[in-house]
Amino acid sequence: MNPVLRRSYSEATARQRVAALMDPGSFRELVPPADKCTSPHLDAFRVPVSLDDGVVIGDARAAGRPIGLFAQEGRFLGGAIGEIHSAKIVGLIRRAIRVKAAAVVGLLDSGGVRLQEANAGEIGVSEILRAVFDARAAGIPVIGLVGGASGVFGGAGILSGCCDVLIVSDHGRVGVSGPEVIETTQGVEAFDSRDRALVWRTTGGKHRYLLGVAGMLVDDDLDAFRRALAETLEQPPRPPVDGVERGWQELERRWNDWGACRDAVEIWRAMGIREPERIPDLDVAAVRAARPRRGERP
Amino acid sequence: MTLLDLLRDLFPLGHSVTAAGPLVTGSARTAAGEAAVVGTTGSPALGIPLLLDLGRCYRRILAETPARPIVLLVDNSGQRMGLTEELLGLSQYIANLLAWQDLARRRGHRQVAVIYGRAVAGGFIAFGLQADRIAAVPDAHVAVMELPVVARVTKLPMEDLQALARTVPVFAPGIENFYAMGGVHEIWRTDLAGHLARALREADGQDTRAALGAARGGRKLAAGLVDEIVQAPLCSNR
Amino acid sequence: METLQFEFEGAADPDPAAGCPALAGVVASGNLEVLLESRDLGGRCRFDVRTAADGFGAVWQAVLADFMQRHRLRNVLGTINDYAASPAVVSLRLDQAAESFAGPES
Repeated sequence: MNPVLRRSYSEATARQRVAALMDPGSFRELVPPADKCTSPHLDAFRVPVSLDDGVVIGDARAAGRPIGLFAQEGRFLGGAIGEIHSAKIVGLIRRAIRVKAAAVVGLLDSGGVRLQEANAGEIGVSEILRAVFDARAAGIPVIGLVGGASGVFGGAGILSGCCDVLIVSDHGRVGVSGPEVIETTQGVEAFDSRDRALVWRTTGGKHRYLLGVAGMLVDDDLDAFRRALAETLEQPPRPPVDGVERGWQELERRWNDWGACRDAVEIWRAMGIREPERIPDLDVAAVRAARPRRGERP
Repeated sequence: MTLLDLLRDLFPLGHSVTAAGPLVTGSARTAAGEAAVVGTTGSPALGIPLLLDLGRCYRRILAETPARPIVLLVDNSGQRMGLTEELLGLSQYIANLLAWQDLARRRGHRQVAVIYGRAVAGGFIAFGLQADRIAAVPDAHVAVMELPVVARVTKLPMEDLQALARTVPVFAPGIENFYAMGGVHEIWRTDLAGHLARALREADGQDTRAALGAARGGRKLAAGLVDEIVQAPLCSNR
Repeated sequence: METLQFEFEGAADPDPAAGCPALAGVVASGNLEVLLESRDLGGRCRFDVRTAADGFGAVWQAVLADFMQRHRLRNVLGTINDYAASPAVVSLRLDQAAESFAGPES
């Protein structure tokens, strides 16, 4: 493969991201396009197939360590998850457990379950989640990267929440219900899905980082993602023994403190961030500096 | 099926299950021993307070009754879809509830989910689909998305989708389709109590749904593909 | 959706090939993916095309014939999944795949 390397992570294809983030020459693809393992379900919906069904999987090295890698192609049907796509990811994670990989790394870029294969996708997402928890219980950290055009929504949003750590760019978005869905259920006065600033305040990388949904915030840049991934692999997250309890308490506190907020700016102000309305204009380094340290409350 | 009918049929040996709003909690005697019961009623959308409540139930069960089996009563209309949910990071709230269910599994609590009302999309993923065994009563409704919305999004005519739905289990709502695909382990038509006791005894920690889907013919490719990937040899230069 | 197949005589003196399958493009709206693989086709080249845009058989024939003129290929199977890409984008992806197929020395 000889991909044209571009700096922007969001503009890159899944394969270009893999080439840029993995140690050179280390990636060995499993179920490659030449296997022609395509979806049998799309023809009936008059939709084209993709030879990798929208996800690239394989063994690789990153920062010198052997990892299991999957990278979703957000531009094929919005990265949506069907039978083959989910089976590839489940297989990859179970394989990582078998070979005792140092980590599972997921380049997440998906709107969720593929409608044309809704039931297979839904069950498939659930199987992926089971595999993620198995990997984590086996001591293999699961690291998610979010920065593509589709972001992560629906079942993919839930998957992102089950990772040990999320690395997101300011271009990335993390959510469960997408902007059009919120507008449909609550009306355009409450939420205008075409208001990009609003969409990014609500689900974009900066807010997710400040909120604690994402552990790391990077620029929309392939090198920045590679460095953040290397940093994470060098000091892998080790969830505390009472991690679920602590997570639940923090989430309860978040609801009690900010459940009445109508906009992210209100939350940022309540966090004690000065000039919170400027957050969308700040660069990533400045937003990182603005995040209150854990435990600090105004 | 109503909650009252379900409780009567599932727990003829007695129970102390009550509903407070949408939240269902308590314990019950089964032929396989005492079980904790947690779930929802009234087909609520799962929003943040309810997800926290379900997590709180798990928290109590794990702290106070180690290794006790858990019966999940599933009836929801999906995740709550709103600005507040997204603003606060609903993905993490759902993930935390899933983490409680995983922790329960690791600590030896067998979990059997019984879908007695509706199980929809993200609500089903959050509560129901992670159980060791997933059962449904015949009039339960399982869906990822209803056909009219599928028609709008895919721009295909409803008649075409309805025709497809009759022969292709992969996309249309319905308990039978999910059963064929291995998403529901069992459909319980009679003797719910007997089925529950057996499921509680048989449940183990393995996710066998792909193999089920292959055996039943609704999802023929996933299981074989997973095995192929897991078993593929490593390259020598690893 | 349409499935089309095109065959061409292979070049007598083909460009050297790296031997690995080569992929270019993504199946996004207005785009396509092209996979080129070595295959014993008795010296010929074949393209299996699956396209979401019906009725463009003659255009595919012309674009692929031009492609075969630009590159000396023999015993190559091309697999294409197209989502209504323009002829210019089709040619671009074919050339990118051919460049990959030839290997790093190209």
